[in-house]
Amino acid sequence: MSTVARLHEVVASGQLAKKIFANVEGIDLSDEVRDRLTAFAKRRTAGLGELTTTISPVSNADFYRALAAFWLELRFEWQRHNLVSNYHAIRTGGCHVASFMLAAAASSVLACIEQHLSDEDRALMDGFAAELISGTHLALAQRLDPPNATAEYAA
Amino acid sequence: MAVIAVGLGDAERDRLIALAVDRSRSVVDLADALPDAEDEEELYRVIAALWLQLRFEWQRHNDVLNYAAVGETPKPELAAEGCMGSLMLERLEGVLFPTHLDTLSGYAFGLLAAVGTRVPVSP
Repeated sequence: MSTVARLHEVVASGQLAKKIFANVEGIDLSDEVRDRLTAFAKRRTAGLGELTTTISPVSNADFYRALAAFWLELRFEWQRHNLVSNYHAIRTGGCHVASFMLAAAASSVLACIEQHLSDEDRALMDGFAAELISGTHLALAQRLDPPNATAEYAA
Repeated sequence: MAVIAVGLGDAERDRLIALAVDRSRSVVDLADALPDAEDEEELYRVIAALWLQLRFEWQRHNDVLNYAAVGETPKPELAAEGCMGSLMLERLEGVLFPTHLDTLSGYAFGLLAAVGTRVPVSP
């Protein structure tokens, strides 16, 4: 089965949505958290479905680039929910349930997409996302053009 | 947050409003998680990453809309979501330095352009 067919299948059959909700099985969530999770699952599976049905029939190259961009989008989202969850735990000793669950949900979609990206591309994008959030400007600066642009970012 | 929902059904309109509320809540979650002066640098970087995430999302919707237009399949809900995304991007741009946004988006889109040359997926 081709990459596109496999991704289409995982969305159309509801497997991806099931995977997202498997993370919360047996957990007593508030209606608010469950609603946010449901909305996330619907939007992200629909987004992936749109790429397979709209872009892939026309251009394989554009489809791959869109898939990579979608992965990066989710990587930032995962990172943000993770950060909120961690800081909340440090401050209060408690769990920020919504962020924790949404990070897990983002992780499920990332896992579904990343098996279709090359290891090299994934490593490049992973490095970029991590450096941006951690503020390791030097590593980012070495790869930026023009090189001085990041000096302003670090300032 | 205003939602432009011309030509949408009630379900799509409700979904968009829920999305706007969720997005706003995400920013509040960030502010609650990083409330102190010493957190400011990290908060700035995370907001920059949020801006980039929304910028990619806006681009994805735009790409899908363009391809859908070729196939004459209108997607008004995506167009409305794109408008909402633009509004949020504008708001976030108000707290970020323009030079940083140029640098980040230039790097990110350059990275994706390079990625797009390899195409290991099968059609």
